Amino acid sequence: MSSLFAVQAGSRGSKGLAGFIAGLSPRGRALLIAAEIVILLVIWQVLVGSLELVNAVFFPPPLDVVDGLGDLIAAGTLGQAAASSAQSWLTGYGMAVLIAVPLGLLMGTSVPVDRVFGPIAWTLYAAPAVAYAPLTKAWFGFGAGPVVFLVVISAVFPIMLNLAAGIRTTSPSLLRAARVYGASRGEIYRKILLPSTVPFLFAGLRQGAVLATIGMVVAEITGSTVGMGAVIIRSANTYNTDQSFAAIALIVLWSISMTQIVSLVERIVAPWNRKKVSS
Amino acid sequence: MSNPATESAARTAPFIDVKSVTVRYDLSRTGGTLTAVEDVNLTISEGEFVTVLGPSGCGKTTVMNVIAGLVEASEGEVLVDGRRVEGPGPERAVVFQDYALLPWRSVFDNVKFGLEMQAHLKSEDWRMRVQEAIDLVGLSGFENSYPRELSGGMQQRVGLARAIVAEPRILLMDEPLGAVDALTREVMRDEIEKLITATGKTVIFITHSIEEAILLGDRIVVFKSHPGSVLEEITVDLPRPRSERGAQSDPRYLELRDHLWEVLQNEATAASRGGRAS
Repeated sequence: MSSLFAVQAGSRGSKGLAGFIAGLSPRGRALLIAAEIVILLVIWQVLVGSLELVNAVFFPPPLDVVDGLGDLIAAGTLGQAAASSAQSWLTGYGMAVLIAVPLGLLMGTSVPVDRVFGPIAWTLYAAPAVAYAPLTKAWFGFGAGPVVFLVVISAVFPIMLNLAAGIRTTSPSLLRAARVYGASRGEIYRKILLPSTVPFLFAGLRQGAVLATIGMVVAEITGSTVGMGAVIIRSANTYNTDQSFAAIALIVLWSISMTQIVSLVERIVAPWNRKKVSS
Repeated sequence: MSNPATESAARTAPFIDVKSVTVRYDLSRTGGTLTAVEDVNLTISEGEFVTVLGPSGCGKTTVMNVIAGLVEASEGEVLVDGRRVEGPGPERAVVFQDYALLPWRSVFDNVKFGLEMQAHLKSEDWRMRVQEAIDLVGLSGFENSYPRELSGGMQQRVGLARAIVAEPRILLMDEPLGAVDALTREVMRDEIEKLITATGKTVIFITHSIEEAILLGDRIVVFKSHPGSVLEEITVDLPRPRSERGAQSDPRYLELRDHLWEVLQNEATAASRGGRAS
């Protein structure tokens, strides 16, 4: 992620570096990012692991984290925790999509629905999930219930609101063209509004996937006994911070994988939306 | 051949009859109304190529939208072949300034859009008709491209193919070359002349290029603004095809050009003075 921002910042400052990066093939760019990560990890390993500039308990170096991962696997609890998290995430995200898509379509299409429902949706979206995480324990107990709930709550609004915005911002000139060539109301909906909203839907799905992961971890570390969040809490409480970092790394990996899957599906569903590599 | 319109206009009722059309918009913010066009009268014969010339914001697009059935007249009406226009219809097609292509459809499917919703036109040979329209505008080989992959000029060719695929009798073209680069613009202007005069379609072509108005039109309708209305109508009796070299050095062409320059300049001056006074 950080390298993406570096590209943008660089494009304003030095034209040479930005030009070099822009000129890379997708594979070249992936290699560049990989190299960047490796360099960062090596620096981290040298500073903390070899030079011991910082106490390794607070900031365990990469090789310790790898050991920590080994310990977690050896203890036999990792598989169960990961499975629990993945299951909560997938259940919650799936429910969020099922709720958000029809509501988003309705909000985008109907002005009255948007007027009544829009402000509530935005208010709930603005409320940080962390704030009512403790309450969810009262509602759903200490198992996977609150985790699924927070995943749903975190993912549902970005998907719904993006979708609604997508329908509302459909180009008026496309709507005129559709009327000129004889489209009925139903045909305008099917042939213009729905397809033109696809990029917005996927933007919402990507955003929702990231927020769902955050919601999941928040629910799991606030008093839950299940999932990767609980692994982080347990290991940190016993000063096995290398294991905490291993768990965090796995969560980040999950989050990135999910957004990549969403992007992959988008490329298949909406190949027309692919950005031109060069113009 | 140079102007069949004027002869037939004398004999028959006009094909397109714009009768005292006024369009007002309610301005929700101030509660007032904006008169976009006022009392526009225009008659067009079948097969005539009419260019509409005028400054930006003079309501020429509004009039075209009323004819297309996209905008309702506040007063007056438009008759096409004797029937009152109540909405869009398959005998009228529109070419838009911003192309208005569906970005998620290939060139082929965008052209197909021009006939797929008109049941009586969706005959078995529709594939052939779509292909013919694509060939006619010179886009063979680009059937599977997406609009995003094409230049502006090529995108407008798609828009043109989509408009003619269902064989409408009337083509409404709203500054179709306005967003196209200068060189492509000239090439496409010449192609449009050849292509459309050969099919005998009735065309209303909006432009703010004097050159385009003269080289394409059997007749030029000059609009004025605030509110939009017809200022002047001029018959162009230059021989066709005018795209051949030489038309632009014809003394008649030069005379028309100078005249239109003067009319538009006076109109622009008057409009800016009027704008300041009120």
